[in-house]
Amino acid sequence: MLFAHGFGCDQNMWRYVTPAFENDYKIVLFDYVGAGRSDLSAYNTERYGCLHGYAKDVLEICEALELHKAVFVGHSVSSMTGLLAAIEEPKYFDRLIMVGPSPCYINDENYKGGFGRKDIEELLETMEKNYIGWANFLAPNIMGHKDRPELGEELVESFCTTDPVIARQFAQATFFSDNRHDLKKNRVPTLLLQCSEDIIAPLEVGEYLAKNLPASTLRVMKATGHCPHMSEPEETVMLMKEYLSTAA
Amino acid sequence: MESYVQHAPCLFFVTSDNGTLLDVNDYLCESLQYSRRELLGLKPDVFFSVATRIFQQTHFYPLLKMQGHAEEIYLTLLTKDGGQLPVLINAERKVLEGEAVNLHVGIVVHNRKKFEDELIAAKKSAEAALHENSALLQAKQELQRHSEELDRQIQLVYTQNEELKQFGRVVTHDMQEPLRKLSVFADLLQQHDRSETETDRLMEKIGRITQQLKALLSGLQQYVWLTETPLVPSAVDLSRLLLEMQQQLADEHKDVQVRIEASTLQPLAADLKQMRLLFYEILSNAIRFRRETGKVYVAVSAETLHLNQFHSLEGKYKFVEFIRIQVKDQGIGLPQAYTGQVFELFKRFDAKSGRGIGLSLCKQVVNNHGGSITLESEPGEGTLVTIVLPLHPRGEEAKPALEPPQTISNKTSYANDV
Amino acid sequence: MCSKTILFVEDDEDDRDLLSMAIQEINASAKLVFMENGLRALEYLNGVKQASQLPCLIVLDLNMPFLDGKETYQKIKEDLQLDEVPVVIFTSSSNPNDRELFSRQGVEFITKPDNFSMMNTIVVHMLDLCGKHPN
Repeated sequence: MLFAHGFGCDQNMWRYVTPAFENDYKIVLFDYVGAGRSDLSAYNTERYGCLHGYAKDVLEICEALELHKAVFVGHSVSSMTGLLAAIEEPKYFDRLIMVGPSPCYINDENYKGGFGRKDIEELLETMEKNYIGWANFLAPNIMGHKDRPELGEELVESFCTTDPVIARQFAQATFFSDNRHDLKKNRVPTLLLQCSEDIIAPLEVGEYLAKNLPASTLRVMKATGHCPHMSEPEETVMLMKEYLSTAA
Repeated sequence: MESYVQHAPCLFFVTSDNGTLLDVNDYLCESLQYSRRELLGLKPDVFFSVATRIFQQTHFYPLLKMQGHAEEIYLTLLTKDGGQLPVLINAERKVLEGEAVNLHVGIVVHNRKKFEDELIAAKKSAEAALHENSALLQAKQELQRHSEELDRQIQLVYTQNEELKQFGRVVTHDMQEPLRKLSVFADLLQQHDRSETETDRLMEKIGRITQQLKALLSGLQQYVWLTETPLVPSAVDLSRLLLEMQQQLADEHKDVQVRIEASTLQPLAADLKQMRLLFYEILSNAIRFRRETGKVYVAVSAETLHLNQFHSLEGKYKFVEFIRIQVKDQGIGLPQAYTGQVFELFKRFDAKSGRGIGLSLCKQVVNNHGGSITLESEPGEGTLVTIVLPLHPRGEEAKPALEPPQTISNKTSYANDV
Repeated sequence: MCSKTILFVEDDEDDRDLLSMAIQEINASAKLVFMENGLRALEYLNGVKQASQLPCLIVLDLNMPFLDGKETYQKIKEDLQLDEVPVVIFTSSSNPNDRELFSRQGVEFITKPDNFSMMNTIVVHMLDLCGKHPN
């Protein structure tokens, strides 16, 4: 079972959900390049400027670990990176589980994604002004303070680190993405977990996906907000297990 | 103590674990222009801007949940009349009197925000100046063009090297063989008295070997032609091309029933002649490696993918559209060990392989277009050939497509006995 | 005990015919076994090994599908019993590396000729090698 975090935070987000599957699956957790404790020197603006670069991260992991018929669990934008990866190499994936997915966040004439461009631009500004965990972890890496190990020693477990540059670019790549035309290429059975009252992936988006993503099953959760795997892990686990126990 | 917090010069609010406001202090109410009564029981979303709500869902909430505390979180709050308040927040989750609550303290940072805005603006302006510097811009564009060209050249050198090695092997070995045999058989005919049946047999061998040699030479000619001729791209209608192939192959193999089923294939910018060759060879193989039933069924499907245009340069990325075409037959297949060598020039595995040149030509065609070709096969399960080609040749858009024939529908199957 | 059989490992039908024709002219009753590639040859050899009916000579082509001459020779050498049988390489390869590889191991390397009288000479030599093998 391959867990992919979404925009915001890192693999730690899955800690309330993974224990329920440890007996039945080999659990694979990772941080995308640029997030969590990944090697920041591997960050490449050209590559990670669009979701295909992130999808490539997923495929590289599948290849390195020789995954076969894995269950891919993606939160938020990772639902789409998982989809792109599965379109390119379906052999790695048996099922896709999308938690709070959205193929496009910006409204247009016939589609309600939830946001206007201005909202996203304000978000980008917010990303630029947050430096969570920066001094502890990111600064030594970014500024190249390898000669100042005492900075590294202060490293306490840092969740949700946000580097003003990379996090902003991740936000940009995420919220300006549009994968609606990729939906029809899906061949892998997919579970859509839709939260009630999620401003980032609203109900209309879940319904749009159920309609346009082949082989998909929509489940509307009681959980509200955008992170049911954190706020309502039991409901999340239950719905996942229910789906996985049914035949394709 | 409580009343002091109520009047403290900072924003203070408390939320329950399900996100509703349990308490707010006076400073917050005044700053945001709400009364305490109005806010209690609602979620703080009411005074969060949209951007802040997104940030709260994606970063703030998970941080508090996992770590139990968060510091120096920058958020934008909305006043009742729609104004914006930049704030820095510290938050902590505590269990007080058996109840889990989230305590938030914030200060309004107008000046700090202004200063940061200036810093960021200055930084961006410097970056923009750098970006827009026309000389630099031009240099960048040149660099990008050169990178693409370099990548192409590296690919070219690599494939040409491979081709040359194979060509060398062919000339030194595969061509000499038939010549040697012809020489011996001709010698036999001359020097010994043979019965008529024997003579006939020898003549037949000579005829056959001569044909082999001719086929070899024509194969080589095609090989050379493919390396030398520049591409003439046009909008190729694959559906129509497959229809033509179907007909041609049916004519060539009258004893076989050939059915090619193709899902909608969008037009592709490619060299028509080379595409014809590519599909002719692959489909001929499908016929050659058919099961004994004498029926050949081939399914052709295609989809578009975004893949990195750069093959050879590390760290260079440009995701462009490619088309991936899969040709699956249900013939007798090939042993796994040989699927890697199958694209080498004149590599034959048994008598069935024909001239042995077909697939190496396919590889050349695909290389010429900047794509790739792979073959997967399992004995008894048939063969799958996967061709990946750029949808548009570098820097060009496909010319407008020709009118498709009326018979093409969404899923077209061409049986040769309609 | 060895049978006076010569094993030819040769994938090309015409070359098999030529060998057959050449030998018939010299010794019509010679026992010949033809195998199309290394794999089949090894199967055959392992079969007759049990019955102590190993051939007196193995004539090995180099360029063959599935298991080529070099690999087949390796496998023969690895087997104590099979290693006793003399091997001769009979190939159209003009690659000097091939020739050197085998001559270093004391294996005779014969190039396929382009005329029939040379064929005869070679085949006589092969029959000799077979005859010289102690019973």
